[in-house]
Amino acid sequence: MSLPGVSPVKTLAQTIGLSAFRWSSIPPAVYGLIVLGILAGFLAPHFFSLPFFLLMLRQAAPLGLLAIGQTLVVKTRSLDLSVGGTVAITNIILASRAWPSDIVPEVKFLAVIVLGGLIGMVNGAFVAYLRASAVVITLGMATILIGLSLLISGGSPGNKLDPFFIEIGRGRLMGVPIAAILWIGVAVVGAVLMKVLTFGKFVSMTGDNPQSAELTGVPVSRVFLASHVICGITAALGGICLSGLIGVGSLEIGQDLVLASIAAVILGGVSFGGNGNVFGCVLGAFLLIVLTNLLNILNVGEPGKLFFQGLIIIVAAAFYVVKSPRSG
Amino acid sequence: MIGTMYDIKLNLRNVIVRHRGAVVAWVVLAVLFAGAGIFASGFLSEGNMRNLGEQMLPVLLSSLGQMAVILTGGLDLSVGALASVTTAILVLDLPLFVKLPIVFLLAILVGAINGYGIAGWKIHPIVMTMGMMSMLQGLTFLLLPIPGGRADELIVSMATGSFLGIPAPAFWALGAIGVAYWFIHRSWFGLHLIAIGGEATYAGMNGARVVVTTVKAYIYCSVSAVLVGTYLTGRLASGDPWVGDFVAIDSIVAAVLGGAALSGGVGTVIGTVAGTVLLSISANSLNLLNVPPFYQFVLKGGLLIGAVSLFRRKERGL
Repeated sequence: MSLPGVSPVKTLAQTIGLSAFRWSSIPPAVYGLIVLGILAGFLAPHFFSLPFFLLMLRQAAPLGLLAIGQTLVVKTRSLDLSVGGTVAITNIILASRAWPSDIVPEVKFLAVIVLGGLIGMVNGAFVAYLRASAVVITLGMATILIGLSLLISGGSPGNKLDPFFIEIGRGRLMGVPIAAILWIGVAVVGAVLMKVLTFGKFVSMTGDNPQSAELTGVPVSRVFLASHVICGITAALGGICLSGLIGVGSLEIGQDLVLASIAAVILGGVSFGGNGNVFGCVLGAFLLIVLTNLLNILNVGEPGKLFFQGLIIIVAAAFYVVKSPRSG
Repeated sequence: MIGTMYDIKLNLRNVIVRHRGAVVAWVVLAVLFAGAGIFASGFLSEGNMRNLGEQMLPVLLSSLGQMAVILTGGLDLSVGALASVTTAILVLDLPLFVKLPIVFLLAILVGAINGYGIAGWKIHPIVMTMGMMSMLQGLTFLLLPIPGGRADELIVSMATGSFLGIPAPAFWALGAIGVAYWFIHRSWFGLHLIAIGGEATYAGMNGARVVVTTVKAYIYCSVSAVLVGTYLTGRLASGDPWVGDFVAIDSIVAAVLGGAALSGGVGTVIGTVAGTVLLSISANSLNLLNVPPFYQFVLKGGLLIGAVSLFRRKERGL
């Protein structure tokens, strides 16, 4: 209700309907991709060719799948450090010699997905019902999974995978890598889960303030459990894609993916108990792969990748301040 | 005000509450020690005790530093990578009097950045130290891509020699425990750490300088990690970029087993020492019982999960 003769002051942004727009609401990955795109334009113009783009998509798919699950977990103010262990055990199980020879690969596929879900369920149960620290639980779980995968393989991996999995990892459908289709498909499902279904609202509410969410009637414990289960499943999917890409069983696979998946999530503009959506982390994962490829061109390779990944995590987190957990 | 500090100490109920975790750890430790002595042959031999001490020292040094950080309600995952960087720098082809200041300055720098990022910029401790871990790992692989190099005589003799018939690690351990006890239970710094871990806002209102104290805690933790790296360099007499891989997880397990609460504000030096010994003895007796190393991974993870599940917290998640 305004006084007669006095019109309410409007900013230019409000007049043209941009009042809700803030530069900080764009995920940091977008800015990062713009910067890297300019760099790539100078250093390596072939980055912009379609075949190379598709190659990078295929390369990014395992990390991207991990990051989708991690997004959900991080949004509920939790964390999963066992995704690397899940990838390792997925790879060892798929390459195991212990399978009967007449088993169809689809059964292996399902078994691995179920295992991923179970791992997530154990993590989630400890975090939600025993209220143990997610960091420590999943760190312990990662140690257990690495031990188990060493135990299953007996220290000698190296069986070739079924053509079915190699097709998932390396194959193409009308020129588009199957792994990338799987990745984007899961991202779309995740986006529907978060934007359309009630579950997404529950996740946001739980992350924003667990106490008031519980008072409002959100089943907080089950939301924790469900997001950890989903994270375990996407980690298993990522493990399948990565195993297919490599094509053989391998020890110590996926250890570097833990940090990278969290980096992708933070680059996607998701913070502990904060905003952000699944597509942000898709861009985050892609950004990390572009960075890796650029650094390879510059001959910095692995050390440079680790260094810049850490730097990016810290810088992105400093600008997108993570809410501190409320004590209550 | 000094009087208040001692009143807290003399109140028996407070003492028991604060040492609850430590008491549990010492009881479990006694049982484990007796069990290992009876069932694992050769556990009590002098050679094994010496070996145990050598295995224990890195965990002890890092877990005491880690506990100071855990008291503030944080966590430092970068200690392992910092220990690796230290070994990588110490085997560089430079004079020792240049290298030693470099590693300790690096420790202060890393601790200050970690602490300021967490307390000043409010970055989550896990995100901050994880990013730092990645950067330090990159630096390590840049300096020392594969194991190799030679450590200086002085560092080797400081780690493996003996003085007055007592092996050098004993002096390191006593020194570390003494310093940690002084810092955490006998100084304003320690009192402020515990207050900040309880509730940072109120600690700040009551005169604790939150940012400065947190930065100091992380610097203490980083310096401990560099000491771990220095000791390991001397013990191996060589460099290894993966030497610190287990330092982070071991230090957290040891502190938590000793009754430190990851939510902050609870933890004692005596408990952390018990946790360290507990962790090392269980690994050592598994070795003596010829349990394959793969099972030891599984058991270590299980131990970690079991230890944190014992203490129920208010909040869920991180």
